[in-house]
Amino acid sequence: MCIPKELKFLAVDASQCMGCRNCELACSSRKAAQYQAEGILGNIRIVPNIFVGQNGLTKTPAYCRHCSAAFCKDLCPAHAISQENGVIILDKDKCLGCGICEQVCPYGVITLGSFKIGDKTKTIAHKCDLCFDQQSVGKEPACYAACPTKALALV
Amino acid sequence: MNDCYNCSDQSLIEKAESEEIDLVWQRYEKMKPLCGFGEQGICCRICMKGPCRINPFGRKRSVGICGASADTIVARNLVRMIASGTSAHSLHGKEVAKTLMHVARGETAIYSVKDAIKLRNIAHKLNIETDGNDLIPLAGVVAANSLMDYSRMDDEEICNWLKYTIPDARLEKLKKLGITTSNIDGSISDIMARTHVGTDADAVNILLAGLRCALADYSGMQVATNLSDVLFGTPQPVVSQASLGVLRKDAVNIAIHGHNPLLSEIIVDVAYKMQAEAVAAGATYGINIVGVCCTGNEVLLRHGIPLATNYLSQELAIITGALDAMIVDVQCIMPSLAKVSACYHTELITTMPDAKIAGVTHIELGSGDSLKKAELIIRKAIDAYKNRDDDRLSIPAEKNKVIAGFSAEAIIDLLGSINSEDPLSPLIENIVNGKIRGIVLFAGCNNVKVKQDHNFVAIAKKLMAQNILILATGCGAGAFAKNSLMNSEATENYAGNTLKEVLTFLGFEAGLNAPLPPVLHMGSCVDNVRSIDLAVAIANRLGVDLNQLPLVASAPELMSEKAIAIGSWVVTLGIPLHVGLTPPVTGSSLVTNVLTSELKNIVDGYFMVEENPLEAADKIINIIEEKRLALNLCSSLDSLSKAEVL
Ligand code: SF4
Ligand code: SF4
Ligand code: SF4
Ligand code: SF4
Repeated sequence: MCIPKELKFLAVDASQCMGCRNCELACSSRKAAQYQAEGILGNIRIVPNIFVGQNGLTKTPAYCRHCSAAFCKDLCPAHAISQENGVIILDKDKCLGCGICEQVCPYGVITLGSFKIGDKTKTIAHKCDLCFDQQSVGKEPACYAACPTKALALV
Repeated sequence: MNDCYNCSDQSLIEKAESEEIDLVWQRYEKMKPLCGFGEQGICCRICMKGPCRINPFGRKRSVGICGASADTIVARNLVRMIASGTSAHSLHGKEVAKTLMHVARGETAIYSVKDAIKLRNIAHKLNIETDGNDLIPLAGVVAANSLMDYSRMDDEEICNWLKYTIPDARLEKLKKLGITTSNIDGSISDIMARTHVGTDADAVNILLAGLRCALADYSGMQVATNLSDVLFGTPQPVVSQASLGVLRKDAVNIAIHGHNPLLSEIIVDVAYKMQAEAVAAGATYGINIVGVCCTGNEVLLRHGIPLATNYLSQELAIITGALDAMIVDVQCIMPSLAKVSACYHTELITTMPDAKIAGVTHIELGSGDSLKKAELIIRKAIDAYKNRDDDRLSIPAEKNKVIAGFSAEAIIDLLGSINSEDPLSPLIENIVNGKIRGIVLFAGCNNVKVKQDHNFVAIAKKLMAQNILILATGCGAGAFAKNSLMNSEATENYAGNTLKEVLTFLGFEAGLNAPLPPVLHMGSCVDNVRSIDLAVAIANRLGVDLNQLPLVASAPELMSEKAIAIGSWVVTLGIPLHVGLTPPVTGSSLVTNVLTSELKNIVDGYFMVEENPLEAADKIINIIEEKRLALNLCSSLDSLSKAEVL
C-alpha cells in the first residue's frame, strides 16, 4: 500500500457531537462505492468504520486511533495489518478473516464482513484507512467532510 | 437501573427479556444515539430544498437553504407540534359533539343523553336559553354551539368554549394580545399555512400563533370532556383497583386502550351482556374488562373499571400472558403491540378508520351496526382465551386500591355537603389559612427517557408532605393509581399534617369514612379542562385571575405533541408549568427564552424545565409560596422577604 506522508488524523470534541450519525453514513457511502468497484456490492453487509454511541446525554463517535502500539497489528497472525507513516493499514489480500484484530481492538472499531465468491464465503476484517485515497488527492476524509458541526476535527 | 418505578412492571420487563421480545426500553437503547438536531428542534424538513440542519456550535449563525434562522425553524417545529396535539384533542371533541347532534336528531339508537343536569348546566354556561327547551332539542342546540367552534367564519368572534369557561380578566388579556380563537380547525390550518416555506419567519409571531392554536386545543378539550359527560355521565367518586395485578387468571381479560369513550362505552355495555358466553368457555369469573392509557381513565371514572397500566408499560399487559384481547381506538397506541401480541395468544383489534395497524384485525366501530361488531370483538376475545398458554402466565400480585372520579362537579358536590350555600368555601378557607398551601395539577405522559412513573411519584410525595393538594389526569393519574397514591392510606402515609387533617375531615363529611386520597383523579388527558373548571370556579369566587392562584401544573414525563399543546394553553391561561424533560427548542436561545421567561410578562404563565424531580418539587413549592405572598396569604417567603426589606 502506498500511504502518503503527513496524512491528517481524526480527533473529536464530544461536546459538539450531535449524534446525527452523518459520519457513519458518509463512511458507509464511501464503502458502498468501493464495494461497487470491487463488484461485491449487494453481496456484503455495509458497516461503517466509525460508530456513534450515546452515554447519558453525551454522544460521541468511536473510530480508529491508529495506535502507535497497535494490538490489531501486533496480534494479526497473517501480518495483514501494518503501520505505514503512522497509519495502521489492513491488507485485504493477506487477511484471513480470523477476527483476532476485532477482538483485541480496545475501541471496538474493527468489524468482520463476509461475501460470497462462487460457492465459497470469504470473510475479511475492515478498519479505518483514514480515507488515504481521498486525502492523497487533497480531499477530506468522508466522515470529517460530512460532520455538520465539525465535532470531528483533522489533526 | 430499573426501567419502571413499579416493581411488578419491572418483573414483566425481565420476562420479556428472557423471551427475547423487544419492548419500548430496548428499542430506545437501540435507537441511540438520538439525533441532536431533532432534539434541539433545529432540523427543518418543511421543504424539499432541505432537509436543513443548523449547526448550534457554528461561529457564524448558520441558516437553512432558504435563509430560515434557527429561531424560525425551532418556532415553526414547535407550533406544528401544538397543531398536531390540537388536532388530536379537538377531533375527539368534534366526534363527541357530532354524536350528541345525532342523539338530538334521533339518528342513533346506541347513544343517549345520560346526564340531563350536566346538559342544562352546559347550556347555562354557554349562555343558551334553557327555559322551555326540552332536553333533546337542547342537546341539539348545545351540540350546534359546540360544532360552531369548529366552523365559525367571523374572525372577530371567540369560541364559545373559550369565552364562557375562563375568568373575564383572562379573556380580556387574551383579547388584547389578539390570541383568542374563533375557530378550532381554523387555528390549526393557520399554523400549517404560516409555517409553510417562505411564510411566517418571525419567531415571536409564530409562537403567538402557537398560543392561539393551543387555546383552540383547550376549546376542543372542553367540548370533548363536557359533551362526553352528557352522553356517558359525569364522573362521581368510585372505588376500584389499578396495576397489572387487576388481570385475572379465571377471566377472559379484555383491555381497552386509547382515548375515545364513544367506543369503549359500547364495548363495556356489550361485555356485561356476554358474561355467560365467557363462563361457558371456562372462564369462571366471566369477562374482566381493564383499561389502558386514557380510555382506561375514562372507564375507570365512569364505571369503576380497573386500570391495568398507563402509556409506557402498555406492552407489558400482553407480556403477562393473561390478556386475551386488546381493543384500541386512537392516540398513544404503540404500533409495536402488533409484534408483541403476535408472540402471545392475544387478539389485537383496531376499531377506528383513522387508526389502523398493518396486519392487525380491524373491526370498525362507530356506525349503525356497532353493537353487532362489539359482540364480534368480545367473541374473538373469548376464542383467544381458549388458546391461552398457562405456562406463560405471569400476573403480578400487586394491585392497588384507587378512589377516582373527581370531576369538578364531584368535588364541588362533595364540598357542598359541608356548605351547600357556598360549596367552594371549605376548600378556599383551607387554602387561605394555609392548611392547604396550594394545588398542583399533574398531567401528561410517560417517556422512555425517564424511569417510568418515578418523576410523578417523587415530586408528588414531596409536595403532599408540604401540604399541597394534588390533582392528576392522563397517564400521570395512571402513575399515581398504579403506585398506590390514590387511596386513603396514601393520605395517612404521605400527606403533611394539615393536609391530612383537611382530607380526613372532607372524607368523613363525604361519607367515605376515611380520608380523601392526596391525589384526586380527574380523568383522562382531555379531562385536564376539569381541573381548569375547578380553578376557574375558585378564581371567580375570589374575584382573581387564574395566574394569581397558588396553582402550578407539572408534566414531569411528557412525551406527546398533545402534551406540548396542553402545556402551551396551561401557560397561556396564566399557570406556571413544570416540565421534566426539555422540549425540542434549545436550538434557539430566543425561543427558549420566550418560553421560559418572556412569556411570564405576556401571559403570566411560563415553562419551567427541571429534570431532577426533587429539585422540581422545591421549585414548584417556591412558586406556590410566591403566589401566596402576592395574595397576602401566609407564606414561607413572608419572613424572608421582610428580612430582605429590613
Ligand atoms: S483498529 Fe483498534 S487497535 Fe487497531 S489501530 Fe485502530 S484503534 Fe488501535
Ligand atoms: S477516515 Fe474514512 S475510513 Fe476512517 S472512519 Fe472516517 S470515513 Fe471511515
Ligand atoms: S457527524 Fe459529527 S456530529 Fe454527527 S455523529 Fe458524527 S461526529 Fe457527531
Ligand atoms: S424551509 Fe428552508 S430551512 Fe426548511 S428545509 Fe426548506 S430550505 Fe431548509
